[in-house]
Amino acid sequence: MSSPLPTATDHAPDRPAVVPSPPLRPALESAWPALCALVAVFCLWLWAGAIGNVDPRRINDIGLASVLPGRVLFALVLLTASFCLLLHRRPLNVPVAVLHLVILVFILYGMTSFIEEVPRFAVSWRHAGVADWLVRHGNIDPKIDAYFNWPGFFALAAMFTKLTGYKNPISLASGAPIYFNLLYLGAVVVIMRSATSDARVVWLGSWIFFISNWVGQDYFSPQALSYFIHLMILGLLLTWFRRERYKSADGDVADNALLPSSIAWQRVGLLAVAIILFAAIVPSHQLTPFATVGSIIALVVFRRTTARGLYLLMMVLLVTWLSFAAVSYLSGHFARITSDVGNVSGNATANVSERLTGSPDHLFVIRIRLVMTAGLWGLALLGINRRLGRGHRDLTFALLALAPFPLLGLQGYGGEMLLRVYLFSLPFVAFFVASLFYPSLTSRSSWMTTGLATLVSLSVLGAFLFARYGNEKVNQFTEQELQVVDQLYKVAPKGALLVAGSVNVPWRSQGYNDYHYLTLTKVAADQGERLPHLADVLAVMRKPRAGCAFMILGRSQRTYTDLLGIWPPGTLSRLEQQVLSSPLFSEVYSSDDATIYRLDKSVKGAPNDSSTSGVAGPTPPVDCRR
Amino acid sequence: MTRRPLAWPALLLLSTVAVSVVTYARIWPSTRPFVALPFLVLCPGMAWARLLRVEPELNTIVLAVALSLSVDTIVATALLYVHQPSVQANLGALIGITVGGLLADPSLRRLLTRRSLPRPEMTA
Repeated sequence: MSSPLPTATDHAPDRPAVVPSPPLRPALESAWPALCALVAVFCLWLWAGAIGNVDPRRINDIGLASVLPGRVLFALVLLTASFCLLLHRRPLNVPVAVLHLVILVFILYGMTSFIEEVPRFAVSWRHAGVADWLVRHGNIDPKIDAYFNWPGFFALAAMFTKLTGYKNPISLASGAPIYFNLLYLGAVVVIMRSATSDARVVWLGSWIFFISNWVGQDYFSPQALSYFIHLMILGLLLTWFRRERYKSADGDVADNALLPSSIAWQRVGLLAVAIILFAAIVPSHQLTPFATVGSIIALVVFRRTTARGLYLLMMVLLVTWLSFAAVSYLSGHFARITSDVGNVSGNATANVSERLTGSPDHLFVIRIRLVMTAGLWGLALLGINRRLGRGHRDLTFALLALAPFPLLGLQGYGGEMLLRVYLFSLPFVAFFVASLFYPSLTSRSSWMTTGLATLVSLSVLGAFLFARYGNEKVNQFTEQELQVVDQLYKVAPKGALLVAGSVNVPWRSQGYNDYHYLTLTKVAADQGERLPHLADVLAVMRKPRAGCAFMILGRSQRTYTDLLGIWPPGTLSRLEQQVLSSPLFSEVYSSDDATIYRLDKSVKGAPNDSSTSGVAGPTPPVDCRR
Repeated sequence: MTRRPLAWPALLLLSTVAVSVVTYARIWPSTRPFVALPFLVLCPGMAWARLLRVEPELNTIVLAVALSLSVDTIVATALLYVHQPSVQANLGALIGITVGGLLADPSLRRLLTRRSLPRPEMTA
């Protein structure tokens, strides 16, 4: 039987012994990790007791930070201080460090699950709808939309739903940020350990990853799962297929991770695992496979990995999927997809300056995001500089931090590409930020270092609360809104036209393709108008092919258009007043947060009546009631 | 870390049996999420990741979770494309993959073979 396959750092020869911290009093020395663990558990208890009292309806335009109680903030400060004090003692107690990280993930990423009444993000509900469609129909129809051309994640969610016996895949959504971030924790630690045997950098780097991951791509989505798998592929290559050509002065980094020929079958096995992992993200997400292949190509070009042919196999898989399974989507959208290729400045503009809109408080949140991102990259540069000064040339991690940037030349990705670039580079950036405090294995943990690490962590954490949860007023939904959406599906017959004020509605988690869905933002855009007009909406809703037509308007849609600056504040409220006073609409169902209106097609002579406007022919009265 | 050769196989087998019972025999339906989720997240990948003998065990576990979720995704997607989306087909495929991994473990096979051999007779 072959020996266990070692990690890269296990090969490091002549590794100096970890310099132990100066001794404290013996009792305190032995109790140090236990004290930190107790403090961490106390923080969780403090947070759990306070978070349930938060009223999500009081959230204002700066987001969740506006309603967080002092006890939650105190718990975060205490947890940070406890973690940095834990790092101060060497050797580091790893189980207690893990405990801190797990509690951090619960506190930072579980907040909304405990505060809000129903799962957040309109797109989570849409994703649940795709999975629900697969549960009900049991096959894939690529003509429906892009999701059905990359159905991997939805097929997985459908399988989880069936096997767990849940009624709807949305049951999997409320805890998604917690379980995805716990998955990321494992992968990020594997990545960090591939670069250093200094436990302080590994765990501080992981800590920084979680307090700076503000982009919020960890909801119930294909990219959340694909990101974990992407990290794991990189972790696998960095750990077992790494090729280092130098040994650092302190012997920290492995100088030879080439595996002996006696365990070649293990290398084949690990390569097979890498291919299987990649084969799962190819049918799941459009962007992530490109980020993975790009990163691996960077490693191959700069001779940083021994798995030199892997990217070719991956590209074959990718091209095969695009050529066969996703062809029905690509053939209809090829020009649109490729129109941005090479337009780096245009894509960057779409990602930065076009997002600088909205209410004054929202603009403040956006500026915090920009400052936080720039600040983190700046700290990473300082970290690189300190590592270089200690004889470390971390070209591999520097390459992987830069490898996602060419994606900006491919597409604007709906104004989100810069966010994705930030996310893909984050583990490597976090490593360099951690290296700023502990640049080498032999560097001592002074009180000054511990204090600075605490201060920087608290600053980043403070910015994180605004950056990540700054849109929470928009992202959250209420029970009452959900009740109205459920009612909509009860009153609207299949095939009806359902119109909403904006995309921010928790709909489509049922009847994903059984209705025609439309938003006023799209109506206005199609008409070339900056603002929506009732006449334009009526023209669309009264078309004969629309059949029965319903409109749903409510709190979350108004908040979305007002806060993000889609339209001038109050535009949607004014339009709703027009709908209310119009004889063409009748109110079907209402709650405090949303209302359903039905278009009565039998009424004649109303403004922009289809029989006089020429937009559509006369429509016979249709009974839309079930 | 000390490896216990039977700990993981026993856990994987137990999880496989439990998920089979609650799914095929439809016993205790309320326990399905607690039984099915650990199986889906860990078992198919762990059965094969163990064979790679990577160290430390934390790496094996993270690799196993990633492999499990990937295998789940591939199986679920493939079965949808071939119009076999039933719970039974999905679970059957994953159980097959898990049991296949367990059977492929040479140390486990050797252990089972040794235990099934008759004991040598004691001589005075």
